[in-house]
Amino acid sequence: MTDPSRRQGRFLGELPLLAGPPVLWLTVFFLVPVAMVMAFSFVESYRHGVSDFQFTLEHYRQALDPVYPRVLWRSIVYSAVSTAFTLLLAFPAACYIAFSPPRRQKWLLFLVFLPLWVNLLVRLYSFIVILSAGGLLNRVLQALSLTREPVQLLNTPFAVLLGFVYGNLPYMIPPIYTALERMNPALLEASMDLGAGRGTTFRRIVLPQSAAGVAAGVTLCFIPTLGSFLIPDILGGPESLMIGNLITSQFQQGRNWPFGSALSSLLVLLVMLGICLYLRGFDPTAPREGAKE
Amino acid sequence: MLEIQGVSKQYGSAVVVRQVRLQVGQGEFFCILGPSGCGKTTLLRLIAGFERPTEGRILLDGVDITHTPPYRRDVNTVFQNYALFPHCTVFGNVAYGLQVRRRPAGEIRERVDQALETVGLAGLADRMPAQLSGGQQQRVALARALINRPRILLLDEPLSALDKKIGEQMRYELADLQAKTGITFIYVTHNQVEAMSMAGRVAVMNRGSVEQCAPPAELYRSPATRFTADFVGSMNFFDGRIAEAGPDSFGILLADQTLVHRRGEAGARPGDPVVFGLRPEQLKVSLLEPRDFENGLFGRIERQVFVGDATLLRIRLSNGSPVEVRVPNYLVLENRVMALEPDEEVWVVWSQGSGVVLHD
Repeated sequence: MTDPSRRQGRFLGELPLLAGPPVLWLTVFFLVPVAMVMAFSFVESYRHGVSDFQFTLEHYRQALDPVYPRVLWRSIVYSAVSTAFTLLLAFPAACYIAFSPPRRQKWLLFLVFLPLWVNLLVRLYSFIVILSAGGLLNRVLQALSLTREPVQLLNTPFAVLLGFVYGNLPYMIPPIYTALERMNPALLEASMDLGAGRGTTFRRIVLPQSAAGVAAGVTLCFIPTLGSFLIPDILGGPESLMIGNLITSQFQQGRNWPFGSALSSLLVLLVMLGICLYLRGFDPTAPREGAKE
Repeated sequence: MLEIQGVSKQYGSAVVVRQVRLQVGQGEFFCILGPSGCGKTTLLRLIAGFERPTEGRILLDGVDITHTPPYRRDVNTVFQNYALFPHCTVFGNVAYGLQVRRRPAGEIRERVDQALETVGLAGLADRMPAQLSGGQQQRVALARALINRPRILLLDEPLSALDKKIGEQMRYELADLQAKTGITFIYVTHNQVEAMSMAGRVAVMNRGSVEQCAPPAELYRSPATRFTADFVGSMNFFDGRIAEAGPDSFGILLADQTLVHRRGEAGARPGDPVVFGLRPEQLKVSLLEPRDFENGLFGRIERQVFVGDATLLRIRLSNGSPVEVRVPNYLVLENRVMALEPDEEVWVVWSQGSGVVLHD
């Protein structure tokens, strides 16, 4: 007989080996670029590949101009609102999938992932077709006599939020589904057996059991949305400009890499700070098994 | 108190529970015994309200609860794998039933403490279920169900996940708990020893139907059907024929060798086939022919299986059918029970009063 603890010990000894490739990958393709971006943000100017290595905080001073924090704040609001709506739509859907028979679960999950097979850019252009003045939605509204004139839908904050919710759904549903699917269905019966109706059972059993999935889904949606530029670029207008658009424009049209880097660095710091606070207030691994051995 | 009136449950074309009629009295320790897939758990779920019967009615204290949802039934369940809420502490689990009924906090604390005390878990209220052993989780599940003071406590194979020793200990504790609380227990198990040692009455289920419902001793002594005889304890079956049938006694010829006399009415005519059942512990092996007040059949020892406190002898009778005899290890010489050799020719002997006549 093999002693299981010794076997586990040997396995733990090999762990660094397993962690090696991802650590290398993240170092080369994440840590180094982030460090470079941070370094750039302190450089006086960088044009056409030639830079003078003059240390300066000028870009950060510029970034704290009221214009930019306002855009950043708007980005946070848009991300929060769109994530909230995504959650509102994703939760019932995840419940429905998790409580379906196994065969149907597979099909429904396939349908959730299906949009990801088409490039986001292509899908966003289809939104233009739907939302434009002579588009599908406006025609339906007019046919139903709800409006007489075409309504401005495209290039509004509404379109941007719609795009975010649409784009994020495939990232919000699976983690919630996984959490609910792992839940022991006997817990629901136990709750009802003890006198709790459906509403109470949902509130006291299903919600806490899905918390880890909700936390994962919210993280997966909120953070990428915060820095996104594609959706506001295509569906939004000038008043729905987000921090991602500002950064992109510094690197592209503006050709002001150091300033773009300063904005990026601020965004990265903000996200990290947010994650730290979030993990402190709510540890997604805590409520599941609950046990500290 | 609980009346199950002709209840059936069908999934598609599969009949899982078939025309079950049972009555369970106030304060009874009632056991539903049967092999896996016999419908016993489904019957329990019908009583709990997790399933609705296809036909029939269930009455609790004379009130029809057939279509009452589980949260309005005065019935609580201890689930097979306990189904403790993993995100709640022991306190949270036990308090759940009182909390959803909005009892005052002081009363909840008091009753939870009392319930944990009853099941021997005082002081563990702040643990999470994952930090408890199987036996402790079992006790939490019990406390969680009992705290609501239900009319009936349903237990679904509660000891099957425990170690043998802990399971045996829990048997006594459950029986004590039942006697102390006076709550009606309905206990589902496939383990006949559990059923026999705890229950006041046992219902044996097979393929969705109740085969027999009787106190354990009666079930063991006079099983009504071949299935019950075989499932509760073990039983050797002999094919016999009614040889003579008088008004108050009859004789059965076994294996064309020995005539077994029985008192009472035969319930069959001479020549009719019957099955005669003898338990392994009712038999002994002998080198001598059966004497007065004994019956016997001749055979050859085929195999000996040592089981610790006894040795099981498999004997092939001269007509070809096998018989199992349980010989207590009273005399073991040089690793041989009663100095018996393999392949030795012996008599299988029993007292004339032993054995049951089964008509199917």
